[in-house]
Amino acid sequence: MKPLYLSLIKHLYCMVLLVPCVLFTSCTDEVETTITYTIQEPVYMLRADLQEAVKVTAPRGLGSTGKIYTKSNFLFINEVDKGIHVINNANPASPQFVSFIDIPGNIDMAIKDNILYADSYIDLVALDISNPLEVKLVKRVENVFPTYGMIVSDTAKVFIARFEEKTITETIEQYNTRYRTFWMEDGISARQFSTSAVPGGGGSAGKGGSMARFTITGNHLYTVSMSDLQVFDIADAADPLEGTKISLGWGIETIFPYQNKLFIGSNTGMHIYDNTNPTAPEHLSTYSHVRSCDPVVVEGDLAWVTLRSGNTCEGFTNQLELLDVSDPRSPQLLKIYPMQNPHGLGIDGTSLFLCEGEFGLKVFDITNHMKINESMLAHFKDHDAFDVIPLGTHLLLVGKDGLYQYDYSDPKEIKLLSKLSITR
Amino acid sequence: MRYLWVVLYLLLLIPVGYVSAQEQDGSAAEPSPNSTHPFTPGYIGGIELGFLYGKLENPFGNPPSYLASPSVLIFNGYQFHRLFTVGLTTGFDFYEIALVTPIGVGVRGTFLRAKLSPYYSLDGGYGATFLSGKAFDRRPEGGWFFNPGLGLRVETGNQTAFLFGIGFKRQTVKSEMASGWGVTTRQSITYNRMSLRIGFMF
Repeated sequence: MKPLYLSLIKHLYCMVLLVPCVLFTSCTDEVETTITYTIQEPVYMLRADLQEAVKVTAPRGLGSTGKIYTKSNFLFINEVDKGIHVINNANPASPQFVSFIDIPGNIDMAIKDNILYADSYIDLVALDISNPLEVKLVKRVENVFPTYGMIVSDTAKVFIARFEEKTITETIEQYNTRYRTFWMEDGISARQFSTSAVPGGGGSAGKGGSMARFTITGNHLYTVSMSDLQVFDIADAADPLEGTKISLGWGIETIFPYQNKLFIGSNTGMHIYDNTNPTAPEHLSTYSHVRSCDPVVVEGDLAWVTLRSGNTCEGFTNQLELLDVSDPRSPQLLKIYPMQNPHGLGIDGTSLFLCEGEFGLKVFDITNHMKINESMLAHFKDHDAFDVIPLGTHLLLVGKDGLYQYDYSDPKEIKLLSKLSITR
Repeated sequence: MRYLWVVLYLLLLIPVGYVSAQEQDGSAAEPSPNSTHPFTPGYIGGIELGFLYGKLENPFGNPPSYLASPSVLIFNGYQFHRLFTVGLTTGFDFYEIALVTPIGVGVRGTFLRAKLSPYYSLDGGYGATFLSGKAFDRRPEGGWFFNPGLGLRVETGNQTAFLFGIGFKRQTVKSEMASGWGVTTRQSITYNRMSLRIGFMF
């Protein structure tokens, strides 16, 4: 029995020795945590550089499409943040690129007489375009537009031009040593959002689409940012003067002037302002609807509002709403037409042109405005449609894939005249 | 649904041991003069229950967390010699973020020809997570494991015994979690645990 007993003791002894080793040296879970995240890194620009940057360059093909504007025989197409294409459209069947105006940070534009007003990040620039090959900067109103929702300090030498996406992977130790702020999606899309313009009312002003944020009536240029309406006095076209600024609440998208009213589309509703005193528009009413994007056009006593869903719009509604605005203090909803994904729209006489985004262009006869769903004249499904400008007999249409021109002198026989495709 | 799979998996395993044990009965009777019960070549089955004890260091100088994960171990093997039994190991380890199903090879051996004897065990293989639930929306990824151990074997009859074991288990697991705003957190965890188990061998 003795050897067995000793042997047992020996083994137990080994075990007792081994166990504490295991216990105290390595029984700790090893956790390696890495965090991968995307930041939007701000790209700064010197204000001095911005002021040097406007110049005319050789005509080039469309790289992307933005807002469109037209004046006399010329057509202007914005390329977001880069500048404006000048196109000779004397013959809509064969538009010719004339030049490209480099305007960093440009999204919107409007024209009065021979002066083109454009935003250039935080500044408003006034350009003399009487010779489109030799555009001259005649005035710069500095630091009037907010960038990412904030007005830059007047003394600042730099501003945030844009954000670049950057993916970062780091271990938890590195991560914990810093406090991070994540930029929300909303803030980033703020600049990119909303791409087009409203018909200008003034005699010698040009014409924009229904998704514009710049518009001219008479001697005033109105611009809307995400939250404010800014008035400029352009009685002397070459010398725009900064006027009053009216806070409109968040989510402003489009502005459409009609007679002595301003119809302002926001993502929560439509504001109506009385413009009898053009230097200080007065709020008349707000028609609220579900949260979505919504350009507005007005014809007679009727306002046509499109609501659409989409990432930047947050809504889930796709419809065309018809409002009676004969009493601008109390707009009344007359009818809702379900649509696919309505964007910009335009009216000429009895024809309503409605862009359905990727679903193309729809044309309706609105003689009986309560039953337009029964009188669709045409549906062009072959291309994207973002915004339209009806010009009497021909229609300018901009979509993601280019600019299209249609002849609608006979609304029942609408013909494609020409197409400028994205080439780069 | 997951629990149904666990039960099915167990049902698959246990009859193998049971049937094999029955087959062994006839041929297991060659007496050896030096032992209370002779060791004979043949099937060995075992099931052990216990916990895996560990510690987790917390960041920012906070005190560590002490953790205990329930563990089930099932062994089916062939005994070639008293000191050498080879078989397959499986079971369930219920870690905090994952249910790991180890699938591996195990070696067992009893040191003494006695009613009460120390034994050793050595298991290694892959810890799979196919039965695991999803942590943060994603199923964790399994990894290799290694589990040496020692213990006491208390014989209760012919080829049957209780086991009291202590050991060390190392198991790797990976998890990935996506929180809002495009943030992805990846964890590569190596569990270093002390295992304490009670089992029955047949």
